[in-house]
Amino acid sequence: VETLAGTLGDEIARQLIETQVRGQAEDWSEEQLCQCPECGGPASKAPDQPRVLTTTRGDVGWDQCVGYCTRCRRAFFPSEPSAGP
Amino acid sequence: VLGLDQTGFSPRVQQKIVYAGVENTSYQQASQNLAVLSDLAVEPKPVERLVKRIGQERIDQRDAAVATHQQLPLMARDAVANPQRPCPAVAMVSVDGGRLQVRPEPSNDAESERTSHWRESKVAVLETYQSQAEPADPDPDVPRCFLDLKRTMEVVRGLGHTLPVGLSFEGQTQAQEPEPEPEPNQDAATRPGQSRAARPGRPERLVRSVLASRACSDDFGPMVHQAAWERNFFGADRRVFLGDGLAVNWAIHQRHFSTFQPVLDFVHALSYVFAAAFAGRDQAEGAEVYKRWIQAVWSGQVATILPELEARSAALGPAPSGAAESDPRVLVFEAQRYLKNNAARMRYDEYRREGLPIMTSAVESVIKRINQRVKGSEKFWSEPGAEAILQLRADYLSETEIISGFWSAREAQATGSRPYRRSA
Repeated sequence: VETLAGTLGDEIARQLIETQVRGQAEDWSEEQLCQCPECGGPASKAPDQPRVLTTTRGDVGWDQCVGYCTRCRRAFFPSEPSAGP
Repeated sequence: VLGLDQTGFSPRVQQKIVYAGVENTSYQQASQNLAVLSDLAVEPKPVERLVKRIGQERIDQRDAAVATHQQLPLMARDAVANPQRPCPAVAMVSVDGGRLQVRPEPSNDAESERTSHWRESKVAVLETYQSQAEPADPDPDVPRCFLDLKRTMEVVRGLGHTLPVGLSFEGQTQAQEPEPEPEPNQDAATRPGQSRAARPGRPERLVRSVLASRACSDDFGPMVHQAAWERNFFGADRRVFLGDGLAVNWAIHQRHFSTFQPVLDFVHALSYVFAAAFAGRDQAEGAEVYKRWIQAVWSGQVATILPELEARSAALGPAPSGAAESDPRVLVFEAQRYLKNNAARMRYDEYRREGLPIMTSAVESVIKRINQRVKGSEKFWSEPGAEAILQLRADYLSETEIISGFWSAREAQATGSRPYRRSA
């Protein structure tokens, strides 16, 4: 019972985390990917990249939206609001 | 917001990985324990990478704090850092050295390949205490554990001190039950099974913080200074700096802690007295001399035995060059020199009246715990890896919640973004 309950609890928690992370990842508009954070020049949206995060409740996955700057030849992810540098 | 970075591990998982990587004896062991205890499948290499990364972040924070402190006016560096927080009654700083093997950077220099990989690390323990100053020495008689010759010889050997050849006290003490490991904050005089439950007037330890680094003493001193300043140590009623006889410790004291009472570790003094008392004497006579001398040292009367040591050294004559370390002439001469040089830091009766600690057991205990992770004939570290593990080991041994504060701040600041941003 302990094992089963633990597994169920973990799975529920994992799905909650995955939902939250996917929500965060989908929160970005494509306009944010139009400017390269490095050179400030125009950038374009690249195909989403799959990401996996290991949590204490198991792995969660989502698709990370990605921008690409042809001048810098670099891919970049959008920045989240942050509490500090 | 989950506070994600680019490691692929959630903040909680990162905390577990780093804790396991620092607290286990190897990254391999950490990986196994993570699997068994936390159901986390993490290979040893990612554990190592994350420990290095987090260690470097902590090192950057430490160095930034030291640089900021160094920029303060001279007077402010030795003042109370935060008047809103209370200053400790007794503040103790103790410095000592550890050892670990560091692999040199790859080079064509064949000579460097042949030399030993053993290198020094520096460790400092900062502790606060609660104690009362007494009108008289609360514990005038040397603890009986230091009169137990067999046990004392083991303590002296444990310090790496050379003893006269053939000295043995087998069968001189009664058989005892195996003792549990002493608590890290217990000094040698009060371990279970010994004659005293608690040394009278012994100060009560409150909060410990630890620093460990591969830095040289010129760089380590400012680190310890900043850490003591941050904990309001310079506002403490009574301040003490404890060390063994190493000159580098007293250089740090003179440069950064000159207002702290310098105290030579009693057990180091004892080791010299013990070796000199038995040097060139039969054991019965040596035992009588040792008991008399160690009582004098305990009572802060080292000056009374220095003439005896000088006379004994003169009677034995000078040691020839190349004499063995265990040569009685060498042992007596070294003891005389050591006690004479450190006499001003050996007023133990006075320190006990002031409620100050007189032994470096705290820093030695911490070094043992650091060594459990970093020291081993099969363990070789890179310079960055060594500094990272020392920093984190010290953080986890600190009771100031520095590491939990670090994780909280790090999670709050995580952007989940690429490390580069457009500059303004």
